[in-house]
Amino acid sequence: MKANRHRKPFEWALVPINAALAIGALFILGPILWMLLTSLKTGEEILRVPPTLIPQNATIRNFVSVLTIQGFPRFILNSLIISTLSTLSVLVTSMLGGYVFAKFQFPLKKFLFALIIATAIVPFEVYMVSVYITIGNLKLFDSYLGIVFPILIMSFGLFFMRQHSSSLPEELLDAARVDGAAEFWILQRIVVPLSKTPLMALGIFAFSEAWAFFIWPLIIVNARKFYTIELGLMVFQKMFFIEHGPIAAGAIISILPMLTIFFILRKQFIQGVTLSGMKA
Amino acid sequence: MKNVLTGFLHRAKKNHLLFVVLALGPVFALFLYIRIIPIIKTALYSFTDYSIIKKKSHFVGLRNYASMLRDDSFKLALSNTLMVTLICVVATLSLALLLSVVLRRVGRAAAAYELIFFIPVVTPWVPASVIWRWLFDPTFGMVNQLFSFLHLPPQAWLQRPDQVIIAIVIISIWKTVGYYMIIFSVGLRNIPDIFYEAARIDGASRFQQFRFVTLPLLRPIFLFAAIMAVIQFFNVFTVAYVVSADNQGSPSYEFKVLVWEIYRNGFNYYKMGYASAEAMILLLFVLLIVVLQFKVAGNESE
Repeated sequence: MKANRHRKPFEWALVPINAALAIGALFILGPILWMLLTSLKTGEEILRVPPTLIPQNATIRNFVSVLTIQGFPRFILNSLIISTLSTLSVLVTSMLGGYVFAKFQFPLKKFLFALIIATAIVPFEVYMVSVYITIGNLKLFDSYLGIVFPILIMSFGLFFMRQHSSSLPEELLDAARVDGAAEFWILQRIVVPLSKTPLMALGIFAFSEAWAFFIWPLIIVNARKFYTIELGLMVFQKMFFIEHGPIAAGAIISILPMLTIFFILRKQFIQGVTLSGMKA
Repeated sequence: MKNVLTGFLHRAKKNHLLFVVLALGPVFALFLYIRIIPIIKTALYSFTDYSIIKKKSHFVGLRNYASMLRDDSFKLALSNTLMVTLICVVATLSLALLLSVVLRRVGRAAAAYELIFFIPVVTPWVPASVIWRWLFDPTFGMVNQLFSFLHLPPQAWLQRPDQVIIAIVIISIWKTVGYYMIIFSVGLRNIPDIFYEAARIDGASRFQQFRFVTLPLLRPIFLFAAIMAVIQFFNVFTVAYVVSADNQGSPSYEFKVLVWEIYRNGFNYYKMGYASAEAMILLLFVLLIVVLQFKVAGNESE
């Protein structure tokens, strides 16, 4: 059957389909390519009307200026620290919680699980005022812990790891128990190694969510040295609206890490980002 | 031997409770402290005039909710948010569905297109909005260049409310269509070929196959995607904030949306009680959508 498909006669219907898809791809790629080209132009060329497409005197001055004068390296470092902390915490708490909910019986189990899952449908924007007050009481404004606080856990991550953990064979765990293994040893030596794939997908998802997190840093960060890259880019845009070259360079720099991870690990990435879609 | 084994497992099960407490305890405490308590507190704050710059706060009953009814800013934000949500959900989901169906016909090229359409999904909202803001610039932006190329009059774009909506919708489609496209593609792949073969034997045209095989079988996933999209767009903030907040030397129309109102009242005016009441409206809307989904899904399984 399959071989026959290749020998099908030329389908004229595919011409408009491919043309429409090509236009769609241009609409998707155009803005990013335009930004990349803009970032390589001189300030004078950017403001030329009509605009030029290809930079006539390509320069990396905009990137140099963003990275040296505007403190972007610090923002990148902050974003890396926050995203890494969030990812590690989400992975550990989701693995622990998911495994316990999947494989153990204890009082109030259903109630506690329902409570955690119910929080998943409440958007962060609903209770951010309340978290802000908590952070104020803890005196954690302008600190890494304050920024990462709301993304230390992920209800969906716990749900996802529970789904995976319930597929682990009970006999394997019991065999280890008979051999006298402690529960934490079983978790560390048997469960975690068998969960590498879902942990990877969840980790990528958590990292990209944390990297893009915007409204919370916008609220609680005042000191420039705690700016994340998203916050830095936004403030930067407000300050230098006319000077577009450095802003373009900043935008490209802030996208680059995500695009790099995406192209290296695209399978896990798409799986990770659409995780939530799979449970339907 | 068997008795020894079960006895051992029995003892091990007893130790389980200790493990459960040690492993789950801290995790649950975090959920309690970071999610559950703040959500409950928001509901409580919404009945007070709480503010972190005031010493005392008072119970004010439903006064916050009553003031919302007279607050033009809030009403405008709510209607803007509903409008953006409606247009974005309809446009994004229909485009995504169309793309996922069409991609099944282009063979190996589909993978390349999926990759391309997913690039904006991994691009965070801030750089995406920054890029598009520049594209919509009336003088130097590419959008107006394209307009003049097509002999259309140039537009002011981000300075008029109706055009800000169009801009936000275009940016949102650009950013999210790939995500929903992938979700639908996965759904389509899970429809067994046998259904299509049966439809073809019965002489169904391509459109009939789509109408009577694809759509009904994709319904659960479509419903789920619709809920996700409604909640996502109802929380619209970053794009509105970046695209329409005032910049130096570039006055632009400030496009009010619900989350921005919560942000403004809570963190610019420190009216935390009032902001919490607005947040409860947001929560109410989300819950309404979720309940609606369960109703529809429930009716279907009967």
